[in-house]
Amino acid sequence: MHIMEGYLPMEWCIVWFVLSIPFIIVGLWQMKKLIDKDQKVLPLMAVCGAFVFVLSALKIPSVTGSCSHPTGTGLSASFFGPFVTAVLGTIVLIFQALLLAHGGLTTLGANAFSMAIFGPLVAWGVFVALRKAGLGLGLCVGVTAAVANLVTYTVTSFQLALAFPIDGSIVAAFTAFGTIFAVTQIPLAIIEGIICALVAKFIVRVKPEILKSLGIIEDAEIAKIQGEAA
Amino acid sequence: MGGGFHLHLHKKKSEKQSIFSEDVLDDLAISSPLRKVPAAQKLVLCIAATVIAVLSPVIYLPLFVLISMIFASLVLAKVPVRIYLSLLTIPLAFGLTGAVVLLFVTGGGETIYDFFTFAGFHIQITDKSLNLAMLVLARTFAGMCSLYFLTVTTPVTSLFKVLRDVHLPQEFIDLTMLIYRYIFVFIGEAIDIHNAQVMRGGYSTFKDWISAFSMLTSMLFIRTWEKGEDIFLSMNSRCYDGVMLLPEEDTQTSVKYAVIIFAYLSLLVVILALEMIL
Repeated sequence: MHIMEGYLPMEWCIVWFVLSIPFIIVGLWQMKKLIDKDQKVLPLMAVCGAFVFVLSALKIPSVTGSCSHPTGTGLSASFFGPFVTAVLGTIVLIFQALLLAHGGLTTLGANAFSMAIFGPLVAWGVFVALRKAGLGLGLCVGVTAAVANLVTYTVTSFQLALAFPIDGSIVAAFTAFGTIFAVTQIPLAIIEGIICALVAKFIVRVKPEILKSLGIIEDAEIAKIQGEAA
Repeated sequence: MGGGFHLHLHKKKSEKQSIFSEDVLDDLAISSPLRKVPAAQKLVLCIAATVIAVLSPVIYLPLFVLISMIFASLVLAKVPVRIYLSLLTIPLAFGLTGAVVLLFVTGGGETIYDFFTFAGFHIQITDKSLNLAMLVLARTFAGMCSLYFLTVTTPVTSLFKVLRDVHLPQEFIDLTMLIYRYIFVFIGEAIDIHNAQVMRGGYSTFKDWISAFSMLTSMLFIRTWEKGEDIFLSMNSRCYDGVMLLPEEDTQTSVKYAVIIFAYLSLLVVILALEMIL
C-alpha cells in the first residue's frame, strides 16, 4: 500500500519522516554491529533486499480483477527481525519510487513507517510469540506475513485519515479509507500468508541450512517437515 | 487429461506472459540526453518542485509544475510519447482512485450531488470535496511527473555519488549499491523460472497458481542466498575493506543548468507566494 508522491500534505510528510528516522538509525547501527562481527552479512543482506524488491514487483491476481503485489516485508521480518527489515524495506521503497514509480520521495517517510517499520515490527512480535507457543514454522511465517500486510494497510489508512479527516473527524475518515482498502487488502493478506507459509516449508525441504543459520529452526523440526514431504 | 496438467495455448494474443507489470525506468535514463547534467541538481529540482507543488493551496501551481515537467521530459529529455503515456497509466489509476475516495467521502460546503447513506457513510459530492479531490489529484500528478523527470534522466548509479556526498553511512551506501546490482540479476532469474513453470503447465488454475508462485519465490530466495555467499567470496578475493569504490561520473560542470534550475524554482516560489497572498 504505497501512498503516492504528492498525495500527503507537507506537514504529514515531515511528521512521518521524523517518526521513521530513529528506527532506521537503530537498524543501521544493528546492521553495522553484525557486519563488524561477520563480513558475510553485508552481501547476504544485500541479496535479501534485492529479493524483497523483486518479490514486491511480482504480480499476483487479486479478487477485484486488478493486479496486486505482495509486500515481502512479512517474510523479511520473520527471517531477519524488525530492525534489519526497516533498513532493507526503506532501501526497497527508494528503488520502488525510482524504478517503478510506486510511492514517492516526499511520501517516503510515511511509506517507510507503514511498510518497513510498523508492519514488520508488529509482525515480528507475532512471529516470536507464535514460535514460543511451539507452532510449526510454516503456520508461523504464514500468519506473520498476513499480519504484516494487514497492519501495514491499517497504518496507511490511519495516515490517510490523519491527513484528510472527514468533517474534522479522523475516526470517520479512518473507517472510510479502511473499508475501501479492505476490499483488496484482506484477500491479498490471506494469499500472501498462504504463499509465505508454503515458501518457508519449501525452503526447509530444499535448503534448511539457510534457516538454521538464521537461528529460526532446529534440527528436530527440519526432520519433521522433511518427513511430511517424503 | 489427468494429473491436473493443462496447456493454455488459447490465451489472447495481446496478453503478456511476463510476471512483471512495469517497465523498469532505468533503461531510459541511461540513454537520456540530460544524463550528464549533475545528478544532485536534478534531484534538487525534483524534490523542490514536488515540495512547492504540495505546499500550494490552489490547483494552479501544481498544474504549472505538471505541464513544465511533462514538457521537460518529452521535449528536453526526448522520452518517446508512447512510453511516457504508458508510464503514466499506473500512477493515473492509483491517483484517480485516491482522488475519487476523497471526492465521495469528504464533505463540507454545499452539496452538489447526494448519492446515498450507507452504514453511516454519507456518499456525496460537495463543492469542498470536489476542490480537495482536484487539488490532491493535481499535486499527485505534479509530484509523479517531477519524479519521472528525475528517473528518466538520471541513472540510479549517478545518485549513489549524491548519497556519498551528503555523507550517509558507508554501510547504507554499499548495501544500496549491491541491492541495486542484484535486483536486475534476480528479475532475470524470476523471469527464467516463470517461463520454465509456464512451459510445464504451471499457473493454470488458482490452486496451481498458488503452488507455482510459492515455488518460484522459494527458489528465488534460495538462489539469492547462494548468490550472496558467492558475492562474499568475490568481494573478499578483491580485498573488500568496507568501502566500495564508485566509478567517476562523466558530468558537465557547466553552471548553465544550475542557473536554469534556480530560475525555474524561483519562479515556482514566486507563484506560490502570489497564490498565498491572493
